[in-house]
Amino acid sequence: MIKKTVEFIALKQRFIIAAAVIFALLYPLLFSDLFILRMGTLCLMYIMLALGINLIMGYMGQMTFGHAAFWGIGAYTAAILSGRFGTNFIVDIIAAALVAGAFGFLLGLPVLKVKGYYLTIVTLGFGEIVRLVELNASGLTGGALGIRGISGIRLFAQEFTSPRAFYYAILILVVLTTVILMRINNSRYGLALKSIRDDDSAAEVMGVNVVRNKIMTFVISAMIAGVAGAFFAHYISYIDSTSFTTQASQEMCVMVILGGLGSIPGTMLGASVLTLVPEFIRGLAEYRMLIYGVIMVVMMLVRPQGLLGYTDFGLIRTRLLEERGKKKGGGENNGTTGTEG
Amino acid sequence: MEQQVLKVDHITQQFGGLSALKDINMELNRGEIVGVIGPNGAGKTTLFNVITGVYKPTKGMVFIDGKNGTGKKPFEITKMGFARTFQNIRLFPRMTILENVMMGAYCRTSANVFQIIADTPKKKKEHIRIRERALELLKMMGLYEYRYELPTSLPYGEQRRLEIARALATEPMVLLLDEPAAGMNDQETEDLRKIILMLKQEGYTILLIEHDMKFVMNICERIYVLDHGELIAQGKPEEVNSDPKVIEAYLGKDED
Repeated sequence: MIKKTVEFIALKQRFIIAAAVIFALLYPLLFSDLFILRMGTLCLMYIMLALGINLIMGYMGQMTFGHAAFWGIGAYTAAILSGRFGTNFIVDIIAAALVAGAFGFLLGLPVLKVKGYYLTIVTLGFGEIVRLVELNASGLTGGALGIRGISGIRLFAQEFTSPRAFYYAILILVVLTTVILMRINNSRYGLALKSIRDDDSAAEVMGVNVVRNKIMTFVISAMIAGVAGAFFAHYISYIDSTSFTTQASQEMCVMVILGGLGSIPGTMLGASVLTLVPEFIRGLAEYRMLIYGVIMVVMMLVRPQGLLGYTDFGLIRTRLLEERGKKKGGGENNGTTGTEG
Repeated sequence: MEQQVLKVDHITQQFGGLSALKDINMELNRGEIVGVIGPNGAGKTTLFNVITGVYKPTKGMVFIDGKNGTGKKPFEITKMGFARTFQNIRLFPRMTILENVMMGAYCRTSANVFQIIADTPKKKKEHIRIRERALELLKMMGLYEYRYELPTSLPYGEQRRLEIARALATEPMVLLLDEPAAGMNDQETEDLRKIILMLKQEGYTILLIEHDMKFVMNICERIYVLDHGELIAQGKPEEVNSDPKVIEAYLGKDED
């Protein structure tokens, strides 16, 4: 039953992707309710964050509990720049990516020589340090008061503040992130990451510079989180350090763990479920962390790789098509492995 | 003309007070099949680890194709043309068999992260090239039909073959095989022997560590014998076979 469904999805994946994209494009037109639009926007932002963290957790197989720090760094960068210098959105995004990436690099230098639990603990510490700096460096970050009155999306000498504008902005960013991840997945870099995940010393013998690849992955992942942060700052228009806590980092991790390590659709599923479900069952809001805890434990026991973890729809598709090709006339189908999965 | 591809020059490897290798000298010429034998704990795998850069030797030098390879990182050694397999098979368990072999060709690709994200023609071409090469190697090793399976689904002997395919994908000049026949049954050992002879015909130089004396005697042109980290004998198989020091190392000393 599950196998059939997976095969069906794999075969129809182009159709499903097209349908999903069309739905995402029409979403703000179909639902005019502001709450629903806001949910869609936040959902996309969390998808972006989760995709970024999946690069570290799913592909490279390292655990990080400090990712909200990069999100926060991006948000503060954008807020400070646009507040003090009136920069436009593109500049904010690039600056946020560069600053978050630089912090990812600095964290990566000493840290990525350690692995496993040690790395996790250091990222946890890093997240806390960044949060405390944000809370106390009042001159720069506004301290406990945060930064308020952040502008909307400034672009082409205009300022867009409508919910629809924000929705489409984050949709574009999510599509870009997805494309980047797909390309990484289907490249020598993707191979290197997976080999580090599976056996890093064998990877090194195969010619992979493990430390360099790890640092690069941290930088890219941090940049994605930074851009999501820049969007967040403009969208919410008020930021303070309470958004970028360890709890936020953990929520991102849970999204990936629930949805599927190393799987793009899985990550999207996990992030969507965990953003939308708590909002629609408000009555259970107080039990949110309890539910997250239970999900983590159950997933670790039952399906540690997540719902769609390591399920490569592209591969399943190639396989099915080749099998069919053989049955038809023995013709060999050497199509490149799809990476949509 | 004989051409030297590996020279191990007075290598000593110490771990704390223990000398795993003492003043080892050996060389390897292009196109040869050379064996390293010795009882358990003789230092055979340590020697491999020194050659492939996993350990940095305490003393001595390693020359690879005339160039100094001492203290280089494993990935640099791989790039210089040395590929190895592991005594305890080390495939990438959650990558497909095809990806495992493609991983071997990793060191022969060069697209940087910007080219990858921009999906440039260079990157695409390169990725297709290593994929085709990997498929070719899988056909050669008789593993083609399992290409989308995970390596853990293969029987032991075929996992060994996959490891050799992965090593070949690095486009090596020298193959270092660490106990390739360990744990294999007679049929699998025979298949392996054929594969190694085929590789020799294709021009590969092979250095192998082995326990199975019969296998080594059959296949190697020259043999080095290690015991307690020292080189106790070297030469043609029949010479080594009758060397009293070798017999002593394997069977123990006569008590009278």
